[in-house]
Amino acid sequence: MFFTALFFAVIIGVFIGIFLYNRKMLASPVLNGLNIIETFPDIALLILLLPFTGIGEIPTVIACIIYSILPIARNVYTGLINVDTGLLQTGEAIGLEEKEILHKIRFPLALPMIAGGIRIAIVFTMGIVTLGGIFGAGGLGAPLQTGISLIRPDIIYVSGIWVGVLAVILDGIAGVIEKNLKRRYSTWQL
Amino acid sequence: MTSNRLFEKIDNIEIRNITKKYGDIYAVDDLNLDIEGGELLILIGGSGSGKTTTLRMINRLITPDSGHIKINRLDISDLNEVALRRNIGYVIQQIGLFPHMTVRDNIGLVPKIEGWDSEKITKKVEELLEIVDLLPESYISRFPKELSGGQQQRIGLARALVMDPPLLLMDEPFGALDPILRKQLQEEFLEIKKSIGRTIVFVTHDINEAFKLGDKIAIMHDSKLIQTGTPEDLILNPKNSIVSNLVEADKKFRHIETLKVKDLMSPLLRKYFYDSSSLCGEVLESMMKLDIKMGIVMEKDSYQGIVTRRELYPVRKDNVVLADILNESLIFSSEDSAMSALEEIKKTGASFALVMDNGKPLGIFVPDEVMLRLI
Repeated sequence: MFFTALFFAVIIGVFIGIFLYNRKMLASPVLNGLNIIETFPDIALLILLLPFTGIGEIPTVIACIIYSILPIARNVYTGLINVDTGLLQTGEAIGLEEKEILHKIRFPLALPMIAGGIRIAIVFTMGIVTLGGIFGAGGLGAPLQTGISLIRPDIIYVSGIWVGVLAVILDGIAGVIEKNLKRRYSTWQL
Repeated sequence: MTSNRLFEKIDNIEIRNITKKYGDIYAVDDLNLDIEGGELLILIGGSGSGKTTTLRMINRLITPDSGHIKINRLDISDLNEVALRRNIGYVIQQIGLFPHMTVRDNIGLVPKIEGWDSEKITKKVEELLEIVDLLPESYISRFPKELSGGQQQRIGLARALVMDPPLLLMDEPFGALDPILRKQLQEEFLEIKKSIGRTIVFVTHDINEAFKLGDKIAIMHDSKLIQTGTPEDLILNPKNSIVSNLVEADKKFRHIETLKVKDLMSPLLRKYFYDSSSLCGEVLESMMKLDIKMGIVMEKDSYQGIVTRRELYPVRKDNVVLADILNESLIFSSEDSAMSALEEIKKTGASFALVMDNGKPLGIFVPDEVMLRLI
């Protein structure tokens, strides 16, 4: 469930980021719109989805995707826009086409930024997946909700700690990947 | 996309009535300039004089408001701009190596897009690294941030040469380097220039660099071209006070006729001497370490000939000793007239000559350094 949500969020987020890069006029309204969605409390968003999707995994996955699009799309867009102009001009001067500059220069150099966005999305997704337990999404959220409704601290602790440990591990892995990308692709010269 | 070769060699570049304005301010005002094939033309002027704008109009990074530029009588505005740029090498002060690519990928980027196979790219990159005096095996897979400023600039030059462009545009390529490194790279560049034999347009604000490298110098001031000519023209017939101030005409040419070779030669240090039985590979390594361009081959105490780094590269892995590949050098005696020595070096096209008395090497006579000492 977690990975399905993340997978679609990354694909849609990257796609929207590149789309906005190609149509810069739309960037500000679209990102602001996504920002507004982001301000919805996640439980409210889940409840709003229920009439359309019923209970189960689907509303949770959709909510995860909706929440994760913003950090990913925003970072893709910012990453692509903020590549050092000197390098872009060099690319142009040695005879690269617009498209080649995007593929060979802008995109690789935006990777650390994009990884940063995905890392934020991982943390969001983790939280919502857990919350999804209320609406029958299964996963570790389910025993957590059971523990809460039965007022059984032992169940709450065990599943809560597991959620915490998982979140730290996933964020750690994402962090390592981001750091490696930064080392490999950062524009800083020694 | 793959692009055709637009021109094999440059016969001439014709710049006519080029004007470029930003708002109300002229960046370039009605500029006319002819560049002949094979020459190195220097565009010199202070900042804001329009020299860089002019350069960038040649590969269409900037479009002029009016006027035209023709290369070999082809108007460049009729050409595909990407194809045009792939036929013109471009080197800038900021170098602009892509930080996420190795030296090989940086140099080989355009060839890769043009669809060369990987082996051919590697071979070409190795060849270019030798030309810019970097050992291929130790530099080819490094990233730009693992290189010093001077090394990065060499890679920048190699990248500009990768498509064998008949024309090279250089915008203050040595401007960001410290003075010693700059001098060294200028000297190497002169050698490279000889071996690649291309038309080069070179922007600088340093008059010594202009005199050292340029065949012809075009002086720009306040977005206008003031005067074009050889260094001698500019010194002897400056058109106005801007030119004479720039070239410091009054200070130059101190009675060269009375000077002898020994007054102008550079001393020979021990490190230049190599034994004729040394292996070429080892000598190359030692020359790189000592940072010298040529060595004098001796057998015991007698002079045998000279070798240069450039000649050692191809045989560095073979079991060959210096005696097998050494060359004759131009030789003067220390009492020869400096003027006639200069003329003879110019005639033979050599880059330096040895100064010897009674079979013993005393010094080297390098025309570029001699000129610099005079001015």
